[in-house]
Amino acid sequence: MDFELLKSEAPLDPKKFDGTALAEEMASAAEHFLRSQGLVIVAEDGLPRESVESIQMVQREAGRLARGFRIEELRPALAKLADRLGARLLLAQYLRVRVGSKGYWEPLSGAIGPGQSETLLVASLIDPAAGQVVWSNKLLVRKVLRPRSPDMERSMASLFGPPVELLTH
Amino acid sequence: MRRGLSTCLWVVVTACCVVPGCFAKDSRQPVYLDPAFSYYDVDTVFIVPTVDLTVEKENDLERLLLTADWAARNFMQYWGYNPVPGFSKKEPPSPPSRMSVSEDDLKDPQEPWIRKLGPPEARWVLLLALEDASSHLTFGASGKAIVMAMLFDRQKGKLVWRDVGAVGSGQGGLLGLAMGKGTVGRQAVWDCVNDVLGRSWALKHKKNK
Repeated sequence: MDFELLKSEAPLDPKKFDGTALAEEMASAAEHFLRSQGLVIVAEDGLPRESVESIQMVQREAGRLARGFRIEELRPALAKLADRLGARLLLAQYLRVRVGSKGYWEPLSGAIGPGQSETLLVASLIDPAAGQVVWSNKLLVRKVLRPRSPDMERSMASLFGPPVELLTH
Repeated sequence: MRRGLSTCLWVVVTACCVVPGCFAKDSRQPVYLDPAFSYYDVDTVFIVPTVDLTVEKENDLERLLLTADWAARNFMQYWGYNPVPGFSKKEPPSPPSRMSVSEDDLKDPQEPWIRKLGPPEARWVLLLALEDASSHLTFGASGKAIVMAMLFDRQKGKLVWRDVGAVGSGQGGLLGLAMGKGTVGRQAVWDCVNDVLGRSWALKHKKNK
């Protein structure tokens, strides 16, 4: 998750945006999506210790994995994970909030302008054995999303809503 | 007729918005500036066709990208640089071929990729990326755009300057409605290129005045 100012890219405090609640809401929507695809979710507690360590290592790069950025560099770590987990998929999610200027209206000149803030949501399913993204979707919402809001609910429905066709499975 | 009127309005609004913008003071530093880089070393700049990074695609996306191309050439020429290709309002017979890159690739570019940008003789390569563009019609018309701009030193294979511009503009009432959604959208892109380049690149112009 990244929270930043639009023009300077200066980081902002996630607490101001209730980042933990946003993450929980995304995780819950993702869980629902995976189950709807007939996939079984593996809880971290049920895995051997080495696998958990590998997952934590990959988890640090979750945003990068979700965006599919230089995924080839992460292939060794993903392959190690695949060895330990067997044929399984990883779901990686990314959220970026960029805060810009607010909308305005100047009654004298009649000039109007929309607000600049936006939230980017990305979700990807990754096959760690092949080191490839097998499904990905992204959504841009032109406002700051708040947890438990109707906008957040609609965004989750759009992000995970469309019929999914996995690329290799 | 309507298109002619829209174009006239666009020119008038552009003149009103852009000319003061060229001289506007904004002390904000760019997002990234190589410590060894000086704006005054730059003369000829090769401008790569604007790349598309938008997530929600507008219907007239190619026209918006062309607007960004034109704006970059126009402003760089106005500020005393030598943009290649030079400024021309003529629409090319076929759209220029645009690179397909991700935002991450641009923020953290790799040397071999930079060395392939533009013609071999080019040293300074300017690349604009349209991150978002949208326009709406209500009682009036409003548009917004976000543009990221980068300057690469092709010979050294490194990024020397990067900044982000964001503009939301429009006109309420009948004037806004007459301008139309497309005109306001292109206006926002034009203003946004001025916003992102103007803060840093108008310096040379100001010094020469």
